[in-house]
Amino acid sequence: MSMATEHVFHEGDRALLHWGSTDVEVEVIEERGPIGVHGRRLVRVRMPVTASDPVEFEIPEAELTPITHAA
Amino acid sequence: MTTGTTGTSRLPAYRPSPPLEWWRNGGKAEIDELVAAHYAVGGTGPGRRTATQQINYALVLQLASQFQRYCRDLHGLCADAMVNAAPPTYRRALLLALTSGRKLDSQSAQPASLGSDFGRFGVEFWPVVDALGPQFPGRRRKLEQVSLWRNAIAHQDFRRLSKEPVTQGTRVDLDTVKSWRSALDQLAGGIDRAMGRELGAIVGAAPW
Repeated sequence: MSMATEHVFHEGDRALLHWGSTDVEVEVIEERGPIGVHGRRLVRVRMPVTASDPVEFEIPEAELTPITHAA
Repeated sequence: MTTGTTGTSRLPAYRPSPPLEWWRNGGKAEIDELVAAHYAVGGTGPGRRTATQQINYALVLQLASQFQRYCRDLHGLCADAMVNAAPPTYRRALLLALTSGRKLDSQSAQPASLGSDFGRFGVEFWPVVDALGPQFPGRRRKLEQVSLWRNAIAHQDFRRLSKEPVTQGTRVDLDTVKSWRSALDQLAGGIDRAMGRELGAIVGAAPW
């Protein structure tokens, strides 16, 4: 559980998210702040979906693995 | 559809959520600043009415946006609490079901969007909130008024206000804004209690 005082991920960052049996690359589109259970930080991410429109949803940022950070 | 409290005899004790605490502190302070600005526009000159009207419109926008923030943050907290309580292999599917395509991410916090988004938790949202007391349907009606006025001001299109039964005859002055603010404050508290109770019954523990 992330209890960091600041977000590790910021808008525009790309990260890996374990999804089913594989890792999927997602883009952080919003820092939602420490609004999760026990103050854990949530981010909103956009995830590509094969042959469909991308989906956007919220997830604890502790579940993301960094790839690159936006400049 | 059944609610999460059906048949539940032992419920975790309710305490206000962090989003509600923010609404009643940080959000309140920001609205108070605009109310102070309204009172600061003194005098009886011809420009006063125009100036105070603009501040009243700003108050409506601020009130609507603060309430939307509260509702969206509470929804995010509820979703995280449910996901956190679920078996790990169910969590990704729950994340998508609860927070993807949420109306609160793209629309104002109006009764329909709240009913749709909070209904994702398997809760009959407005019946549960309305059951908290006889004043709640009236507070929901005032939320509808705030939402319609917010859209009219934001888009500078006031035509719909005279066509909608819920806003016919309404006008935005400081007394109206105070009445709406009080209603939304009570509504926020009621939504918090209702979702705290419903979610507590679903996850079997205090959700926050």
